[in-house]
Amino acid sequence: MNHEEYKELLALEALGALDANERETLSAHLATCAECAAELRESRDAAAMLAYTIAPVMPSANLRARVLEAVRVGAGGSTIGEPPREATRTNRSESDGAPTNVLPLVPKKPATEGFMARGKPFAFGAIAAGLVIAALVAALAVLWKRNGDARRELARATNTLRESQAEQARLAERLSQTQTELAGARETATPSATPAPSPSPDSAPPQTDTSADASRAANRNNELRAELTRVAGRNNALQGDIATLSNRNNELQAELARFSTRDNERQAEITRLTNFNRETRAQLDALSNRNRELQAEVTRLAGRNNELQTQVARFSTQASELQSEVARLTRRSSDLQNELARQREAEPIVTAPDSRVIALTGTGVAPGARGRLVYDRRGGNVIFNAYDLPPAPPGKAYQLWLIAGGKPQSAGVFTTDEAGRAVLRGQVPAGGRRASAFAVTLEPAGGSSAPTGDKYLLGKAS
Amino acid sequence: MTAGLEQTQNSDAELIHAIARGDEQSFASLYDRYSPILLGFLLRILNNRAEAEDVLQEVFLQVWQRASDFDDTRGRPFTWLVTLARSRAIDRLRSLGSRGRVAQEAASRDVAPTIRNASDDAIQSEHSEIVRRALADIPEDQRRALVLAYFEGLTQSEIAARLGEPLGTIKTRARSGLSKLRHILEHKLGQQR
Repeated sequence: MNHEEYKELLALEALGALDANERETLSAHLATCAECAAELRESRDAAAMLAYTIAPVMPSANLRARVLEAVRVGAGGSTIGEPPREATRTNRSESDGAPTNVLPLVPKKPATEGFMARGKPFAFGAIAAGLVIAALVAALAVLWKRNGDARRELARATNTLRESQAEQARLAERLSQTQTELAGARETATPSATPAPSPSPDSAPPQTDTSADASRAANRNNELRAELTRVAGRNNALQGDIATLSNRNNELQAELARFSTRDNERQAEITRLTNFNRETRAQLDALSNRNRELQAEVTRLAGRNNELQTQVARFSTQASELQSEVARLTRRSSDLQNELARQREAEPIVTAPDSRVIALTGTGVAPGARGRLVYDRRGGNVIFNAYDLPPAPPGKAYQLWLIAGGKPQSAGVFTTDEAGRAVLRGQVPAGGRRASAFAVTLEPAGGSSAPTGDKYLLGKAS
Repeated sequence: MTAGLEQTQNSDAELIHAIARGDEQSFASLYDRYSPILLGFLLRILNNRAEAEDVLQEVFLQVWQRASDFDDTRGRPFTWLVTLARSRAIDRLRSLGSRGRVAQEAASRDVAPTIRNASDDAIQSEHSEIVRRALADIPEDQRRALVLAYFEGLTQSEIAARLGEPLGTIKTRARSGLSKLRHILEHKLGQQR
């Protein structure tokens, strides 16, 4: 911080509103900067004037008496006549537990600073410490009251002591007067007791007078002696009382000192607990912040997780769709490859110069059925496609026959699919290459050497 | 008027110097002069008659003990008294916790039959009038910051939290408020040191 920044803190310091850390740094600066110190004084003067905005309230007469009495007792101290300042200093600074340093114009942070964190209610988690402090405060209040009682008793004792001393002084004075009087009376009495004949004839009546005077003086002397004895006795009694009161006074002072020590211990305990409380609260705050951050993070991650799960579900659906598609395409591909293979196989047959195409038609057993036979007379390769044949019964199969010169020769055995289709590839036996008629019959599953069953398809070479 | 005030200030300082020498009569005079305004001030902070009177007693006992430490080149006697009273009252407030603000003893606000010095009264009510008028010239939000800090004993952060305003705003208000008060008072009362 620089000088200007410190300057900005001065008004808040004058109002007592700075936070502790700023306060500390400012007080270090004030020690070295006369300008800021002067401005702070003026700000403080202005702030103090705020007290004038509040209606004055007259304290009770009782309070006035108490305050003045306390001061008088303090001024008197334990030994009357001692200079007031010294007595006050030692008595007060011990008995009321106040700090002994100069009342600072920059007031020091008191020991209780921060206790209950400037009036804020206790935060969660600090309740235990709060209860302990509350108990201590209650104990302290009791202690303060006892301290006050003791102080009042001391004041009373001291007053009594002062009165007694005044009385003693008065009696001592009286005693000395009495003794003077007695001495005077003795002087008067002694010459009159000794007969002293006077040379003067006029001395006879005075002599009688002297005798009467002597008797009066003796009486007075006796009276005064009695009075003296009484006063001396009274004086001794008072001295005894004074000694008793003085002892009592000392005891009370000792007790006050003891209370004061205990009070200081309590204050230290409160300070310790307050610090502990503050630290605990700071820790709780830190943990709470961390918790809040973690919760925010968890919430964020949970959101992210949901998004990802949705994505995964979407991808998974897509993947299964794609797999179906792949399977479909794979099937299609293999179908196409088969078809292509068939086409490739069929191609040389179909394109061969001597190839022939024969259409077969269904008989009465299978009126809707048709067949198409392509064969290469030179190579002997044959491709036969059948359509709409009824399914062969169990244990049966269809057989293709090429009939040349009335003699049927087998060109292969086949079965149909669900659609009634069949494809047969084979080699035409040499004898069959000149066939003029073609037939498909139903035969036992292994085929026959010559047709035995019903004819299903028939065709002729054109 | 300024001359009159000057004289009052001087005699405040004189009283305190006499108290430092152990003069009980001067102590009683200072008590009679300032105890009503200080009690009003303490009552405003503590809101409890018994506590306020107790603190008032502590304050004057401290004045008695510390009078020799008072240095009139370092501040006005009135500022010294009010600062002392405020610091004691706020300590008390904190040590009482929430209890301190609860019990308001309106019934005990009796008027004690104490003989008042008429010239003290006149000067104080004149001061009071000037400060009240000065405060009325300060914008409401700045005045509020001054009052919360000085009479409630709140720190700037606590004021910000209570009013729900940014800390910077509170600092600015308190600074401007006190600066205006200073300006007006310097103008009206003159430099009194």
